[in-house]
Amino acid sequence: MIKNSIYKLFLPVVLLVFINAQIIELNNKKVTILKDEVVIEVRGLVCSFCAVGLQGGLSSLHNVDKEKYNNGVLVDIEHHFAVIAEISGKDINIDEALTMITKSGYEVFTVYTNRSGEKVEVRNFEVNNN
Amino acid sequence: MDMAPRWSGGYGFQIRYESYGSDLTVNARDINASFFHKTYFLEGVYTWDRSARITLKLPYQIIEKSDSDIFSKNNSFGDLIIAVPLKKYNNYKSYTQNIGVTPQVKIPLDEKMTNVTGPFSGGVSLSYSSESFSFYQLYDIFSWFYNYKDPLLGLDINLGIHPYHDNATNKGLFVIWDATCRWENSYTIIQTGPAFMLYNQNIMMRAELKLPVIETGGKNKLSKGVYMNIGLGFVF
Repeated sequence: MIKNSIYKLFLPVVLLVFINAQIIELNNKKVTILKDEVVIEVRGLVCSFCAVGLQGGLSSLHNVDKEKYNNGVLVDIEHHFAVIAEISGKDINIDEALTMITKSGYEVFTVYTNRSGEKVEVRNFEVNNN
Repeated sequence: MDMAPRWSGGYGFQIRYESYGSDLTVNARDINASFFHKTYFLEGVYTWDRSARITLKLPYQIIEKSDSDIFSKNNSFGDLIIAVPLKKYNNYKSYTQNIGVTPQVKIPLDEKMTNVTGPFSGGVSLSYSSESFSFYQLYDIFSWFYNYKDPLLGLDINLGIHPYHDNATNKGLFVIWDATCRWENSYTIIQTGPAFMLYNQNIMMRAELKLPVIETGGKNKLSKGVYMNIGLGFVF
């Protein structure tokens, strides 16, 4: 019983430290950000069929690790964010990602990165609907 | 849902089959006549950016009529419909909405139809739709004006829920309640029924069935009967 509790409590923490992951809470969901991942909160991202366009656009960026998720991108329409997996040691161009999201018909609310593996960097954006 | 493709340069096409018709009048009388209308549509859409897109609908119709044991069947292209949906979007934290204005034209491709409706028909629709993860609603009021025929006024209402979605595979299901009202000259119809939309990545299938709950017209006006629609669409 005690051994089981120790595993439940400490194993995730040990694993997170080992893989340089950070956890944030995004729209009532705990989201793990790995060192080579970018998480983008997208306003109005609820339309499943429209998520295909966003996913395709983000997948086409340089340095996306297409071996992970769906061609390197996971879109969560229930909690309104996208996760982009980067090739290890190579960063995607965040500005290109933001442009791609705008072209996909959405606005970016917040970008979360974990470049150092030790701290989450947060960038907030103004929203311009048109 | 009605919003795809909303990305710049997005395009798609759909093949669709619809049918309606009956051998009873709007008052459910048998007058030894029938009218059945089946149409195959090839539809396309191109999106410049989310605020402006163009759609084309090319119908191929099969009309079967009978009147006092005289039966006729006519296969022909219907009216080509070209529309330019213009939308104003607003994205919020947990939902998206848009209002739209859609000017549209019908161009008859068959001489027989030109004689009925005229060489050119114009229409306009005003719409509002909003979608959250679990709920979808669409209200669309539309009108058509013809050269040789009375105008038509219509209203579409779609209320839907989203009972299943898988983020990892982008597969899911929408269940929608669809109601359509149309008024033209002395004819009024209100049809309603369920619609189901299944999607898997960029492929979508929609099936709907509507029954006339109110239908009024001349005493010998044949009912439109059960309306069925099934479509398979792809976006890129």
